[in-house]
Amino acid sequence: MNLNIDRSPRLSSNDVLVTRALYYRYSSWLLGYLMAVVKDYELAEQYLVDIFKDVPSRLHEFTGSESSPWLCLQVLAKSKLKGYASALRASKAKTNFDSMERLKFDSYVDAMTTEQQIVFCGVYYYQKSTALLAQELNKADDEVKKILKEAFLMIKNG
Amino acid sequence: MDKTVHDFIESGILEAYITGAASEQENQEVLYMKQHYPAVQKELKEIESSLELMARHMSIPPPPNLWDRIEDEISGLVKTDKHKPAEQERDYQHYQKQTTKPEPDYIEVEGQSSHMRIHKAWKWVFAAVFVLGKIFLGFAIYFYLENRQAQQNILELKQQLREVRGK
Repeated sequence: MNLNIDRSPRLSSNDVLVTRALYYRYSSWLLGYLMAVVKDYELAEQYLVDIFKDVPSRLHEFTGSESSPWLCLQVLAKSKLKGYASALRASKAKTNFDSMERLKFDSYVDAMTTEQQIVFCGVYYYQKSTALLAQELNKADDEVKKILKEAFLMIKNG
Repeated sequence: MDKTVHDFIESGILEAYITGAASEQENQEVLYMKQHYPAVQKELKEIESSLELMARHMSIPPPPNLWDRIEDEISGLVKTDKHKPAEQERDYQHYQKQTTKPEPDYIEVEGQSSHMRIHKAWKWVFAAVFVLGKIFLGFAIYFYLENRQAQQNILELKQQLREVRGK
C-alpha cells in the first residue's frame, strides 16, 4: 500500500531568503561555469535550477565550512555534474582531448600553455584527479600538481 | 617562511585540494597544514580568489524569471513559524500563494533596477485605457476642426454683414 508520505526536509522561509541571496550573488558565475562544461544553454539552466533547489537543505555546509560560498556552490555543482563529467571524460578519451575548444570560453585559459590548459581544464571542468591526469600525460603526480600551480598563477596574474 | 611550508605551498597540492583533484590522504595533509600554518591558510584564500576572479570573468546572467521557477519548487518545503517576524510571514504567504496556483498569474514588468509584479487582470485595464484614449483623441480632433470651421463661418458672415450695411 502506498501511503505517499512526504519525507522531504521542511525548510524555514529564512532558508529560502538565504538561498535567494546566494542566487542573486552567484547564479551568473555558476551559469558561466555550467555553460563551459555542458556547452548547452538549456541544459546548463536546468543544472542551475537543480543546484539551487538543493541549496536550502544544504545551507549547513555553507555555514559550517571555512571556504567561500562560491567554492561550496562549486562542490555542489560538481556533485551534480559527476555523471556528466565522467561521460565527457570517456568521450574525450576516445577522441583525444582537444584543449583548443576551451579557448572559445575564456581568455584566462587562452593565455596558458597547452599542457597547463589540459591540466587545468581536466581538473576544473572534467573533475579529473591529478593522479589520473599524471597517468594520462605520462608524468609524475608531483609534476602535474606543479603544472596546475602554474596555471593558477596565470589566472592570478591575469 | 619555513622551508617545509614554502615547499608545501609551491608543490601545487593546495590548488589540487581546492579543485577537488587531490587524494583523500592529501586532503587530510592540507587540512592539518591549514590548521597549523597561517601561510597555508592565506595561500588557500588566494587560490579561492583566483577561482572567483575567473568565475566572475566567465559569468552569464540567467534569465530574469529563473529564480521564480526555483522558488516555486522549493517553497513547497517551507514550514510556518508561529513567532516569525512580519516580513518573513509576508514572504511565506507569497510563496504559499504561488504554490497553490497551477500557472503563474503575474506578468513580469522589468524596471531599471528590479522587477515589478502585477496581476494579469491589469492588462485589460491597460487595453481599455488605451482604446478610450484613442477615442477621446479622435473626438478632440473632430471638435477642434468643427470649432475652426464655425469660427471661419462667423468671420465670413460678419464680413458679409459689413458689406450689406455698407451698401
